[in-house]
Amino acid sequence: MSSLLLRLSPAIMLVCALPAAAADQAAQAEKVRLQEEMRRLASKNTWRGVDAAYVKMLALEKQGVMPDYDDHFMAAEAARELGRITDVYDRLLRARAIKKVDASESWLTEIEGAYGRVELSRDPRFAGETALTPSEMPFDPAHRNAIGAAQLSLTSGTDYKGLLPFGTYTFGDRTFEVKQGAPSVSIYLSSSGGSAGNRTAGKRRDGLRVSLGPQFAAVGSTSDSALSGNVSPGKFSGAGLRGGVGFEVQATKSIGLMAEAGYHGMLPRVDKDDDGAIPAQIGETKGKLNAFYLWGGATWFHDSLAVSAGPSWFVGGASALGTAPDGTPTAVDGSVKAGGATLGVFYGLFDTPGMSRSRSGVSLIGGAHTDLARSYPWVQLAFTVSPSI
Amino acid sequence: MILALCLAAVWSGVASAAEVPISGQGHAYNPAWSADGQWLAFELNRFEGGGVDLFAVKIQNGNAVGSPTQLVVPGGSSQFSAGGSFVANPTWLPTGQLIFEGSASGGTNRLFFWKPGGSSPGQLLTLQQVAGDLSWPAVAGDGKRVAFVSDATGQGDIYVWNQATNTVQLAVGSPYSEGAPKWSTDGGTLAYSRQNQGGEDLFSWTSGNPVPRVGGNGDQSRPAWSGAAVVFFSNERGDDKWDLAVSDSVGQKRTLAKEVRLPLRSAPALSTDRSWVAYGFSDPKLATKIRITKVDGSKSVDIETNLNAAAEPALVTAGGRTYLAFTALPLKGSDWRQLHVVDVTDKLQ
Repeated sequence: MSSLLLRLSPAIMLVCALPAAAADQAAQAEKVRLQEEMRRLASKNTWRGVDAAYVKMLALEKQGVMPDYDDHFMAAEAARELGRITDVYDRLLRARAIKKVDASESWLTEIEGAYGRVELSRDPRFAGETALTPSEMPFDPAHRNAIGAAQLSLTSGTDYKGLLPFGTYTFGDRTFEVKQGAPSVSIYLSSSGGSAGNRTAGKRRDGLRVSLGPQFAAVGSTSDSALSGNVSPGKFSGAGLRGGVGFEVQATKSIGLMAEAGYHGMLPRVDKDDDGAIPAQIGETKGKLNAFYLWGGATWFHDSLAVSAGPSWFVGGASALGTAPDGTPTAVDGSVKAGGATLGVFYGLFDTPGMSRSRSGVSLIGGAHTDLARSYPWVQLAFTVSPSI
Repeated sequence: MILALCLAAVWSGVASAAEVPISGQGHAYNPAWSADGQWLAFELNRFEGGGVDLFAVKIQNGNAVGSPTQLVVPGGSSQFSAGGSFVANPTWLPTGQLIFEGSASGGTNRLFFWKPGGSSPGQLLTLQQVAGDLSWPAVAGDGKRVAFVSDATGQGDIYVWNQATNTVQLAVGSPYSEGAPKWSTDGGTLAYSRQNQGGEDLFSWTSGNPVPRVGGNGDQSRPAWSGAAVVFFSNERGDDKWDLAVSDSVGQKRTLAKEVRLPLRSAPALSTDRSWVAYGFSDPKLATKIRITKVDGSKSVDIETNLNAAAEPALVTAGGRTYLAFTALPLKGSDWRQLHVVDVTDKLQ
């Protein structure tokens, strides 16, 4: 039996290999077909077709069939005719990886000596002029095509990140220059008042944050472990006011770091006992909370939405109706030091008047704190000013 | 007596021409100088596979520097498509770049742009800007506009591309076929030829309706401006008898030279200051000479090349020197038509 298998093994291996070989042959044949298609379309100046055929050819790489130098070079020519100078550059680099030929080498040198990198973007809400205009349209068709592609990208609502020929341009109301040896140019048109911002290090979402609004807060009853023969404030809750000022710094593409400090309080309210009555022994007492808070953490942002979360603390004083160790009602005043966490969700509604790169909107903020004897949950609906990109 | 006076008025001299090294089998034609005289573009009509290739070579002190660079149109670099391409009609911009027409493997003929020392040529105008086969590019003196012919309507019409606006506008369209446009020195007027009933006449266009410039029997073809005058080729004496003629004003025509050798594609070869015109002869007895004549007819100089069938001249003045490029066959034996450059500064004093 084993000898039979041994004798059949070459045939088995051959049968197993046949589909793979057939697949290779099919991929190779497809490459030749695509090469012929590229050549035919190029002769008719149908560069989109050449480009599409090249993209199909690249898909054959997964099957081990690689484009030739000529394929990359012709694809670079197609990209140039379509104005995609960055693709031209990439394809020439791929051609160079196969062999170094004067035509592609000089072309690469020419690109490196005639183009600079730019990043042109604007706020989707930007209402002003967003046209990209060169101070003078160049004669070189490759340069013109590159500018045209950038213009098309911007007028269709897409940011442009790529190469532009050296020269002076106007983007919106900003004028900038692309020149040899200069760092990459990054222009961002902000929606604030239709004015423009200009940065050289890309977009940033840095700035002031302000939050102010009513809150509903509660103070829980004292835990049993904290009682141990002391006066214990009773639980109470009510409306209050919370407002703070802080700063936010962008850390990554969509994450920022924030810190905020402010007032966290409850309006005075008449406390009642568990039966809902004012204790006759002490008369009317008012529960209240006046504290200052500190909140720090991270912010994730996307378009108009931002979510901030992190630890928070507040320090202040409180008054409440309490119970003496002998069970009689008593008014309690004391200090509060509590720590916990705060979560806020912000949605920007409009650009903050008079402030660049700033949005105003509503926030739903909530938190829970504890001083190890009581809990202090709260929730706030606030008007918020937040940084914006 | 008149003949004797004419001959006496012709200065002659033997010039030592430097040959531009060309590898490849084919005849060199249609040389065109860059404005600074540092580059020379020329066509090579291939023997094998047909088609026309275009080359550019750097020139220094009348001598070629290095080997000519072949200008391959996009899509023509592939091993599949190098044969059969047509790349011709070089025209230099004042700023030193080259425009020409070309097509790969019998495809659509388009205009291309190339920078010496730069990458491969790229299309000057897209199909979206102007359709059809494009030919006869002519650059205005300011380098900001290019006139050309498109056959998009079925016959040749003249269009103008404006660099500043990157727009193409129809300049001259008619039921006839227009061709060979050339800008006047001030860039305000185009002269061109129009085919009608088997012959060609010259017209000019500034704006609005074209103005007939020169008519007559046979063809009045390939105009070039010399100030307000138009220099052109005429075969009104018969199909194979080409003369060099000048139209000093509308409707007027005078013959400057007879029995000239009609260049393959180019207009009359004017000097940089446009006061001289160079030409070869169809007469075998004069086939070794290139003659350079003042456009006003006051003076002529013969350049003895010691080569055969000298023709396809091109003149340039740069750096205080005037160079003549031409193509010719060897005096003896058979060979390809080669490209030569000679310094003719002293001859034109």
